[in-house]
Amino acid sequence: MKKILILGIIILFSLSLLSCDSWMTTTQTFTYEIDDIASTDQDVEMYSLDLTTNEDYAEHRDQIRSVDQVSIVGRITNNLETEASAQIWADTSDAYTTVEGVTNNATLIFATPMPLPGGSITSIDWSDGLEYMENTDYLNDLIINEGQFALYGLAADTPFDITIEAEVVITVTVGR
Amino acid sequence: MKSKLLVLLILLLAAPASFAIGDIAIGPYYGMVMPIGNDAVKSGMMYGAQAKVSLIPILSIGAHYSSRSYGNPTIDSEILGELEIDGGDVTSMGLDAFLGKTGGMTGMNIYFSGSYGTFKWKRDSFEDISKSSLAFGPGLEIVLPMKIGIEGRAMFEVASTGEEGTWKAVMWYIGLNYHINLSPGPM
Repeated sequence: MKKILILGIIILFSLSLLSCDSWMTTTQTFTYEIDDIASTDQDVEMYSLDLTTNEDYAEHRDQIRSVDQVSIVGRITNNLETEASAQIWADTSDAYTTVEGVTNNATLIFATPMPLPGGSITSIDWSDGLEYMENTDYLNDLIINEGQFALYGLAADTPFDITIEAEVVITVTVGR
Repeated sequence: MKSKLLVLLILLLAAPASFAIGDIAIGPYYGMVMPIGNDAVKSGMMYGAQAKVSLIPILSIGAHYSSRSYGNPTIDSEILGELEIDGGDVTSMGLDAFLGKTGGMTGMNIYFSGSYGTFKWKRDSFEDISKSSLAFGPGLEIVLPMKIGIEGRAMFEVASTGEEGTWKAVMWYIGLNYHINLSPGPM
């Protein structure tokens, strides 16, 4: 009798836990490679990011509960001899071709906190990239609801000439 | 969370006045934690200590402290090669309930346990996370005549992410318990 009682409590406990929706989630990380973005203050380059071409994102897109972290890793080259703080801006529109067009309409999502020395190549690892992210709520919304958006490479200083080779590393919580 | 733990702790301390306690056991444990459905961390080692009070032969309550270090996951970057992310450390304090043969009797004791506690996760580059967690699973303890118990336990743990999701892990460990048998007669 005692054993049956204990077994019954355990079965009831297990069934009640399985019915909790938030228990049926997983945490997944996927990486999206961005081709080089080479921008100058006279010629702003845009990269059209389409997450739906990523198998992991496409498979779970409708099941994403939250974006837990986004980091940008890669290498930034400052092609001029003057210092420049690199930036990445994002927007659903890919129509901007000038610095003013981008800064007036798009949202800053990444900025190096210190100027990159002239002629330097700077590596951004995962923890640096996480630290340099800006306006993550906006970016998270683009990832969950849009999947496709434009990235613009800029620098905070003028004149500038930078090349950004980057990958976006996205960690999400996925549910059924 | 803290108030709930405080209430449970008071109940735990008040228990001796209400029950004829058969046994008190204390001891350390060491084991492993394996994340389930979470590629943001890797498996790691854990250690801790626990105290158990046997209220009636089929029910014990207890408290635990544990610390674990998750392994560091890696990202294969096309540009920078393999990048490592800190898995971080989790500490937990909580209260436990044991159902089954939990009275510390000499020989083999098999039980089912449930646990509720804090879940504090510290990782480089992340803000500290402080959540609560639930864990449950079976355990087995072989109590030797010299009042030393060798215990093995497996637990399934669930901690809320606070974002409509949960982190899950399987933990297993082996521990040693010293039993202070309080009931009259042989153990």
